[in-house]
Amino acid sequence: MGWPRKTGRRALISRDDALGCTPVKNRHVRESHLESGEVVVHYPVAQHPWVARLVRFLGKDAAAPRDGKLQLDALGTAVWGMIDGERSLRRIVAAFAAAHQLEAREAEIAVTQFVRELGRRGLLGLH
Amino acid sequence: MTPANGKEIAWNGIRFVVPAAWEPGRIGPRHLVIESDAGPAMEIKWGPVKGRFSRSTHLRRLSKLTRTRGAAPREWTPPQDWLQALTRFECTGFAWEAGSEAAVGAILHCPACRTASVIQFFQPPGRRGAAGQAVAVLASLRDHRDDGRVAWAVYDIRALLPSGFALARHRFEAGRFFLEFRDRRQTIGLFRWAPAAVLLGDRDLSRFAETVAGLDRMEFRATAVEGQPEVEGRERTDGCARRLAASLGLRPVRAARIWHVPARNRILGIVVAGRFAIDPAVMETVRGGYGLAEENRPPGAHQPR
Repeated sequence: MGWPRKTGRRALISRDDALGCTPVKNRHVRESHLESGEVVVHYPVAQHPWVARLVRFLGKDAAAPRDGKLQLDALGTAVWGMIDGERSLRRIVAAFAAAHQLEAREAEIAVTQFVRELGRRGLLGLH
Repeated sequence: MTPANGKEIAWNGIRFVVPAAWEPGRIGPRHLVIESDAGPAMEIKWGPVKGRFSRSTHLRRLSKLTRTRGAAPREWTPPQDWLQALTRFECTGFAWEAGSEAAVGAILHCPACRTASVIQFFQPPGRRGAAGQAVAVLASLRDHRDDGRVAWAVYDIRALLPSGFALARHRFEAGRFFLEFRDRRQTIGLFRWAPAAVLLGDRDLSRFAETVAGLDRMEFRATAVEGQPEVEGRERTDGCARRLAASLGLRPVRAARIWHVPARNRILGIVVAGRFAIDPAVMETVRGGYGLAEENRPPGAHQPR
């Protein structure tokens, strides 16, 4: 029952503040384009600290970071293309909604989920 | 406020019109939280009353719910414009404050359909809250229809279904909405996908229905309604065993309609399932009442009555 709303699960920043943030791509990320137009994001995957310690313990040189790949679908590619380090999330949501004739709320959920997922993988940051 | 200058929300028997910028934030079977850009704007819960309606019982229940949050609701006399907007209901006003939150609301009882509703408008202290819009919302509030049908209207979809079908499941995900209704013999599934241009790609609607919509083992026939591409699907009946199982009610039977609304970049779908052959009249009734807001809507279907 949300009556009144629970305070314990409140987000660290408000929705309004979050939408005012600007997503910025990790500068170590590279991108390539498939024939279909979809983007593949290449990003360095650091060795797990526990594995790195084990390698050092065994007297081996630390291995170079692996190259992780993430293929974006058409919608992900569209959002990725809008991330230029200058546009705020709110502007990206508005542009995405207009481009695909989506409801504002639906576009907001789609874009924020996408940005959250890329942020979790370290491909994006917010400022 | 009317559906023309606001947005109609209809859910499980309740209907009202809210400002166009408000959207459902939380949706339960008999519970809605409507949000504005600033956060939660209003909340409504409702249900049938068993036996005699008692406003003191409802106030006690409300007190129990708010006590854990540090709020103590008190009786509050609604202003005259509220009372004028709520002449169809027996009305008891309440108000509460808890830290940075505050709300005013009303416990309502409709003597005609014996539904009790608790509606509240959030008004954080020192800020302009949703209470300023309350009169217009309350004036549009209805909790029953006289035509034996139930209206459903959230986000951009609208449906008008026979009242025997109860909501069983619902999911609103970015790009995919799904509502399922059941009566004793049949299940109705309503779908909405977007953006259609991306989801369809170079597929036709039949292929889309088989893959994305998960309607495999059905055969589809292309039709067009009002210039919109549409496919009609029915269960494949090849094979004696399959036909026999279907006729004995051992195997569920489905009928589907999937149509593309190019002007709105949406795909809509209906799947009716049951143990025996689907009555085409059921599908036609559902198809006639289901669509996008301002699209294919029966005249007066969603006007408050």
